[in-house]
Amino acid sequence: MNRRDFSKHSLALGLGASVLPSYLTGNDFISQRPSIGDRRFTSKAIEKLILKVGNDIKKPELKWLFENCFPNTLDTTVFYEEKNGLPWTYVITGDIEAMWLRDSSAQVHQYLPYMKEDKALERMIEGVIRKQTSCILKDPYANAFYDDDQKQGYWKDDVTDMKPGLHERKWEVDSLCYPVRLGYNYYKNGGNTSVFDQEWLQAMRTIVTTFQEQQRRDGKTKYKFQRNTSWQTDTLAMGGLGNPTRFTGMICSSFRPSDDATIFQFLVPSNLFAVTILNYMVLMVAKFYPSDPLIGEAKRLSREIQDGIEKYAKVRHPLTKEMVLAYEVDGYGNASFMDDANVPNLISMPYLDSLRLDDPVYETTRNLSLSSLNPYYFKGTAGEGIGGPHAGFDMIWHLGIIMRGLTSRSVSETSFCLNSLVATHAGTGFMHEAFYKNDADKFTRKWFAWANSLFGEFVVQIWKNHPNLLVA
Amino acid sequence: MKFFLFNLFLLATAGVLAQNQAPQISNVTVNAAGAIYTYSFFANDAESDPMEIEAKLYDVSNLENPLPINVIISGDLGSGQLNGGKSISFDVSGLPAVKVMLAFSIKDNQLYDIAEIIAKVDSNKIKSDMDWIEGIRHRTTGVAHLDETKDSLRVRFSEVNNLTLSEQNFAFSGYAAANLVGYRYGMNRATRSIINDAHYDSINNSLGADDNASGVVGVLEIARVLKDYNFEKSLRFIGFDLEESGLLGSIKYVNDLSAKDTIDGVYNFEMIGYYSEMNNSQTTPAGFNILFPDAFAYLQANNFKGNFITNVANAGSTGVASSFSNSANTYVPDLKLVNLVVPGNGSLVPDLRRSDHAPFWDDNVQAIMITDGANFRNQNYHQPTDTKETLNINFMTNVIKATLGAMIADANIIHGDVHHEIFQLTSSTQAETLKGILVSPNPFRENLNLLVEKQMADVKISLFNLEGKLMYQKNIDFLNSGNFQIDTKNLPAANYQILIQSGIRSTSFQVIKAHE
Repeated sequence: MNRRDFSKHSLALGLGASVLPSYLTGNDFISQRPSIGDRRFTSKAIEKLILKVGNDIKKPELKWLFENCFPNTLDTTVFYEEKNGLPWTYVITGDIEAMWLRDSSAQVHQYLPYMKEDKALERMIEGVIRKQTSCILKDPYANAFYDDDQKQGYWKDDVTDMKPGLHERKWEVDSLCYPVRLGYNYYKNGGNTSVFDQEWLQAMRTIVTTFQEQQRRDGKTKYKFQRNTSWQTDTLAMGGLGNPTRFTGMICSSFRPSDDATIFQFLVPSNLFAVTILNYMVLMVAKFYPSDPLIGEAKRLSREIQDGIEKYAKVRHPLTKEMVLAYEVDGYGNASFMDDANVPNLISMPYLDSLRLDDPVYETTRNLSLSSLNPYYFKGTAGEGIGGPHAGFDMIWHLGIIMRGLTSRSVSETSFCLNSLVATHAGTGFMHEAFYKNDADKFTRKWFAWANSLFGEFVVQIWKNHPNLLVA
Repeated sequence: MKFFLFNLFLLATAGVLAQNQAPQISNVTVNAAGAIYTYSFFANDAESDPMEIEAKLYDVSNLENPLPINVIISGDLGSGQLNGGKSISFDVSGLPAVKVMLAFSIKDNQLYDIAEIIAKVDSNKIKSDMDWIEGIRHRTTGVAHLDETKDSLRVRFSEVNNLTLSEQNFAFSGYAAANLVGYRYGMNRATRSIINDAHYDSINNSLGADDNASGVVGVLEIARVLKDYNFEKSLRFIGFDLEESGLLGSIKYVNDLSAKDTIDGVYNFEMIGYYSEMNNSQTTPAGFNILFPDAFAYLQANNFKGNFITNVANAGSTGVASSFSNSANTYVPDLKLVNLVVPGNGSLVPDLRRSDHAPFWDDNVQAIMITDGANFRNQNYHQPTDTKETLNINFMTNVIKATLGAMIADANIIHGDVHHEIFQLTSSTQAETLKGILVSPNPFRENLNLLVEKQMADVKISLFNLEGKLMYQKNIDFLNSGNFQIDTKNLPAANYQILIQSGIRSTSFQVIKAHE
């Protein structure tokens, strides 16, 4: 099932079975976690953390949300096994049964600091890295994969070089960035470095080569994608090539992290993210394979992208006249001024280590993302926040609210985001994809592990930096 | 953009706690039942300091002149409020169909570190704004850029800096002129305003960088920094048009002010970017040495260097003038300052009336002109060579900082959050008076009797004490006419406001519970 189909399905659920907040039904926040025997993976270190943080949260509804969301990936989406004595982990997104390179990386990110106390958890994450490495080597242009290499799915007839084992083959720059970010943070948190083997090195080479191909130096690409669909954002213009670009050094991304087609293919947040992960890659390859020519290649590529961003993506907003980062550009001077809730987006840049929080251009851009000048900023009686074309008009994404909180320099804004999340779970005890701005009970995606993970991470960050926000 | 190692950025948030956080209003929802508007919201203070909640209603039929309206306001009001959900009800019964502004605020008893706010003035933004405003902005030779400037000021005022935008349009010799006014309403003294203005037009052959892109940039920067703060008084940011055609914009503005409009101070930027450390780079208008001997002596001792800012007040504007000099001395000690107070309205030194502060002086409004001295310092004045490259961004930054500090002090900053909502009362939102219920006896002792003339379902009875706190509430269905008793024997003896609501109808009056 694809994301879009499921979205409609769960919207219907959300509408039909309007779940009352438990304080209205009189329930005492009953845990929404699967019973112990039904959990897909259990980590002692994570259970310990949940207890510790839970003890410090004096707001019962927030405590309940945290306890449901933080372990949701482990509880429900992780399929761990050992192949030839090596860990192997398939991670589904939640209600869509396939593994996205992006989602799977983001789903386990918040567990990394606790691997030190839990070898099994470390092996599970090593398994994610191994599975992702094999995915990249299978097809670096694909965004989502199955565990079964022969499985053909709903999108098998897409007009692109589709093959068994792929769920979807949308080219998104961030799909190749997230696994490097996961690998780097796994390494930084003391993970076992045997996972960075020859196969991994080969995957890193593939990433660099693919990025270089997609710089489209001569404007051309072998990658094409078309779909038989009525959704304009699910297929590419210009016979599957996407809209034209002029060489800037930046990498074309045919699709966004929302899996919607880009308008201008130099998707700026993804390019900034690419600079960051290429620098991670340089550090890691230099550590494990000090004489490999990949080091020089990755450095050069990173500089080219960065120069392209400085020259073409930092622009004066035509209405406000402020210097901002555009969301997408094409090298011809065209630019789109917007932000989408899916990460990487402009607002998430400091979270992804790609810009400084106090960078003045970032601050101006962030203000724009959170203002009525962002065509995808919605405000209603149930809440306000960034949305995007994927779930449509007036639908506010939880990812957007969480990312606003994670990148806030003001405690009151952090608390505003936290309150807003607690007020919009529609009684389910979980984060969703998006909710209607005037009624949070109308929502999409009941089981969306990425948003649950990111919410858990947000609460832990608050627990560390502003514990008083967790006290009534 | 630079590359930084793993998660260095997010650590920056930890440092923020150094300053006590202002409490914040969030998740505001409104529920209107006839003439009763109930606002529910969360009040949250990061440090869980006790808070004070206040609420007011203003008539804003005339934007620049909000008039307080006395109505029954009840709910979670007053001091000692703790974090959590709150609600406030307004009874607009009997109000005419006017545009009203509801304001409610929460604050704790903490103070801002003003220096920390002033430090937010950003020279990069000042520079970046100079880049786009520079260019001929004249109604004949530069109308395209003049209009573009106008459009961007509109967006910057309203959508970027969250000001309520109002425009004063007028025609002059075939050109559609506009004064652009951005309002930030205050809380308890919204009827009093502090103005920061600059003219955005230039003469017909000059790029107008110092004159007066520099002033406009200053207004934009102050509006940007103050976006995140709230005040007791209202702020007004104004871009005046057609100053170069004879102060036409500001004269029009002052002429159209309502008699009741109360402006407590005007900070007019007239060229704030030119700076020189050269000897004899500063000259003076004729008679200056006689009229301002102290200032002249200072200039002399300073070798007539053009390295200071001039604060020009008239005799009636010394309050604003000293706010400015106090702020400059306190927060920007590097900024050299010359204070001038002209006698009367400055007719003796017409050169000191050559900007948009003069019409305010003539209307007995306190105003100062903050200026680098125009043609008495800047040789590019009204020349094609008035370009941004000739200006000193650091000097501009300092001038803007000093003005910001003065405005913060004048407008009475609130360590808290204010929520404003402007809406039009219509006949359907107006109260209809609930008839057919009488209350007796008054004063009462134990129980209150309601004499009901006809049957009514779902009637809500609320009693508020004089602080507006809800003391008693009950929903009753009157299935027959007759006498109904409500049990109020646990209420302390005091004066109460009783509010009786049924659908869109309501009525309220004072009742007194007497001592036993």
